Amino acid sequence: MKTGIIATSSHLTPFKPDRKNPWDVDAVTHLLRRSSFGHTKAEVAQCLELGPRASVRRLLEGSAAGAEEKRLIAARQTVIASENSETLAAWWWMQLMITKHPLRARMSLFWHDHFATGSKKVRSTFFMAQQLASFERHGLGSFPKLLHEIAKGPAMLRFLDNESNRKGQANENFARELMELFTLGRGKYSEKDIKEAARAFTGWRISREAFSFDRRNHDKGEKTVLGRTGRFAGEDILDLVLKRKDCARFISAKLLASFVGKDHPKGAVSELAAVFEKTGGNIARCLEALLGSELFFRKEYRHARIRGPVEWILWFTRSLEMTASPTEMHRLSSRMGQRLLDPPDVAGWDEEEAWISSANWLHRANLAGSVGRDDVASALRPALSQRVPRAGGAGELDFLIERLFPEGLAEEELVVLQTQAHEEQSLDRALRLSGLLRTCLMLPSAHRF
Amino acid sequence: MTRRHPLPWDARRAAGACLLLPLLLSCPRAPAQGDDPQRGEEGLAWPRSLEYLAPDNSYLWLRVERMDLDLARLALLADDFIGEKGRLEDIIPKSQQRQIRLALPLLKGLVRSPLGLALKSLAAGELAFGLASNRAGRPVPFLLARVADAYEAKRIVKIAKSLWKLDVDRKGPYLLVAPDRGIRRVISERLTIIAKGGQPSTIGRRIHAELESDAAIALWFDLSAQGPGQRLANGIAKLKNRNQAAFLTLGLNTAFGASPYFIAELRPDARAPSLTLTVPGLKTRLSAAARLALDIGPAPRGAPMAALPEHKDTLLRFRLSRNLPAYLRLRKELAGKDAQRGIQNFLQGMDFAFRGRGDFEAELLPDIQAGLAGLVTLARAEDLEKTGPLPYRIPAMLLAFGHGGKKIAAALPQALQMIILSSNNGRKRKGQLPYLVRRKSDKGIKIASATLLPPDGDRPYPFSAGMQPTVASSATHLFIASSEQLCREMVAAAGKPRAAENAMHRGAKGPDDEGIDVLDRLELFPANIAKAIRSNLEGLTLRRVLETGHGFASAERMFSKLAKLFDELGQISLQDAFCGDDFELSLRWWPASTLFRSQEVKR
Repeated sequence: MKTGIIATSSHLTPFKPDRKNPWDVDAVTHLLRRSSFGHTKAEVAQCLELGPRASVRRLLEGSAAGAEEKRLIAARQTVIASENSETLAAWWWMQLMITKHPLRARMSLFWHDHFATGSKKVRSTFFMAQQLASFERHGLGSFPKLLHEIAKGPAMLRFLDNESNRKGQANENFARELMELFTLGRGKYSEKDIKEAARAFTGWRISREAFSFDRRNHDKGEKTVLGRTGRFAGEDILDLVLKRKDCARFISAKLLASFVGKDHPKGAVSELAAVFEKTGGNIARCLEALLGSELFFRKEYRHARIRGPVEWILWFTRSLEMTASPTEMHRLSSRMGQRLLDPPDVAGWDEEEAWISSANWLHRANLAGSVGRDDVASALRPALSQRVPRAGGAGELDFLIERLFPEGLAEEELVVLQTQAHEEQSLDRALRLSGLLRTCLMLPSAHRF
Repeated sequence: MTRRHPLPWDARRAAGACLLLPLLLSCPRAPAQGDDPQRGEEGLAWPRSLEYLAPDNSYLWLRVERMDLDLARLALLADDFIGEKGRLEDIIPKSQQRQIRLALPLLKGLVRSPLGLALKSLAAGELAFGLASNRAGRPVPFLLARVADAYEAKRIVKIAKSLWKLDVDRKGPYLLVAPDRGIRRVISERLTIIAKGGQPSTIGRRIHAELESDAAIALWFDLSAQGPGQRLANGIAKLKNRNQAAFLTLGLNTAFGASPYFIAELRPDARAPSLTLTVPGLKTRLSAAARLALDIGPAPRGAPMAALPEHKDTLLRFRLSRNLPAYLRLRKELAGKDAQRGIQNFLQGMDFAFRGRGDFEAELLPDIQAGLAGLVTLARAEDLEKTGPLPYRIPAMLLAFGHGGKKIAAALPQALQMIILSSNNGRKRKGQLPYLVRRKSDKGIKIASATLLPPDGDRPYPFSAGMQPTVASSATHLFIASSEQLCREMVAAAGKPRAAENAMHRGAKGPDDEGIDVLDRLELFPANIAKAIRSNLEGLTLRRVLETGHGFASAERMFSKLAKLFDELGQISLQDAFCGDDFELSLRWWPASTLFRSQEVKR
């Protein structure tokens, strides 16, 4: 991978640690929280040693898949053959929990939210699995390639009814979402652009479980889209959209919102868009510039976002270096409002404050209360009492804090935990640990990242 | 949140229970020479049986006769299965493993301890446990035992009192434990009466007459007496779901009739231990609905059904005798609303499939023999290779019905075609691959089979690709199978004279069941289940990983151990039958491994 995209402007200036903003555990955990799902003790130590730039590069490169992950990937065929999207979702959950390339996994989740397609409408485990593979293949690569592959993927063709788009009866669903949600954003196109673009996508079909082009049903006439006129085919529309500056700005803004926060400075969008354009839409290089920037490490953006259910579950399982039942996690995350492979609509999930509505919060509290127990299906594996060393109430609390909150906790949060550890010292160990973990997972710090 | 793991814990628990049962079994000892139960050293005529001492208000009696309690063997087997590196490690949840490991040293310590010797001595004689109502109407447990002599009894009382401070009385070679002084006094008085030549208690004579003398463990339970029956009825009445309450009441009526009492007996035959539950005189007491549930009534129309021939890959074989048309008629009483709707939809679908041939429920269904024989086998690799590589080796299933109507024989393949074609429309809508239906006629046998069209491109074969739904009809039988190959094999085998000899029509007597009318029989072949587990190891492992979050290695190890356990299980058979007026439900087991046979365990 080529490196060295150094922005010269103020926001994306490479981060240089100083006395005010040092390269310490707080900065490292911020990087790991935003780019991965959780942080193991070894990962924190490694990043501290490598420094900011090398750490970002290491995150982008990832590590080779472990034995468990390789076996899981090999089992993908079995999952597809099961013809059950719930099994596919559980399989994805397991991969998210054990992957050695968490940034790539995070980007898969990001693109799943961006190009939201639901298994209920797609009704094919194979198509959904194909789409997930595309996210994995191009999620950190070229955005144009990703867009082309997703647009022609059977999952998207079916989800946005593009497979029934025919000459004389153009279906505008895909063309509209392409411009509004996938590339340009609202207000950057006209209603006529959508109608004309929809004509270009006529004749796109699914045949023999793959993309096929039906010439007889394709509208070969002249179309005017985004100020350009010609006998455009669907691919030409995708290229036209990709060449627009608005596309670079739209994707950059989404990356900034996801990695920095919704309140990012407006100037940062233009700077990241410039990197996007310069690299031909290479996502890895955009992220290298963003994650290694001074903007990313600003104190005001730390702990500024709210974890979604998937992020929250993966944070504590990965930080404790444990796993949990993927089937159960899928079920419980669905109750908390985030059902993988089944977003609420084509716009994906509402994020931030929407994650902690009163109903969702109750389910989070229930999971926090049960996950440390050994006798329920949603329990962590191996049992928490086996994972935590026998070191008495205070020692056990130290272990949990060190793993979950290495950057430290607010004083009032710490007091709550210490009081509980002291009061429950005489309890059965398994019960005490489960109670401590429940409180840890319900602290405000556990839901912000 | 407290949902338990759906699988495979239940399967493991069942397998574990099957395996642990024989640990408690040993052959009953023959009475030692000169061991005269009638006369002890004090010159008194002791009762012939412990049953004679039962208080008149007893409602439960459990008799254990002369068990050879070999604690060393028990400890050895427990260590082998559930110890530190036992065969059930990975199968039993960690929290329970911890408890078991705590109990194991205690068990091992018992082997040579005075307490262990006392227990051994107790088990070597007769032992009985009972429940009786005291004066306040509360249930009181009591335990009666007869040991070798009065000296032994004195020694055991001393140990029991020092260890547990039990309320133990002793009289001659008899020991009596009961928390209620009144019950102890009643039993003690009865003992004195009998010793002086008096009569046993009435209930005692009844229990003694009803329990078989060759059973090692025998249970007599009278639900109608005093409390339990009433409490059960109250419990059922409290059920919120009326369907559940009705179903339970029907079940209880069916099982126990108007006079609810039953007997359970365990015979620890070293080659094939068996457990039998008997409800005496049930046949005469059954209500009309219960008679229907057990299919007692006029013989149904149609030819008697032949047994399914042996198949080397059989996992499960069953034969059920039920009056299906009558069941469907009674659906409003027997089924909940959802099930009723399901049955209605099924009947409508069948009417559509058989259209032009008559009303399915009223005319065609009664022509099908009221019974079916089923066979579940492991689909063979060579059959599956025809459809391509599969991640799962799916068991094949075959159901056979007798029938007496030419209409059915002629119409069924066409009906299958209709059913598959309509299901294909649904499959296409869901993006699933359609079935290709073929009809053939082969030497008087009509066959219709449906094959799943192979997927295109690099898509793996779907889960259902191994299924090839097939219907075949001969002059006397209908076969419905999930694999064409199996269906053809069974049709051919059923036509041979050997199968006719094996006829298992309703009420047939098997070689081991002299004088018994077998209603239903279910046979399990665990060694083949082990083979199925090994064939599907990849799929099962993935499912376990996704359900529990355990690693692949651990899940694989668990299934390998489970397969090994099934290898050792042998064959299990469960049947319900009428023996005269008595209803019998019996479970019989032929262990494959010598490990479970008491005489062959190394000490």
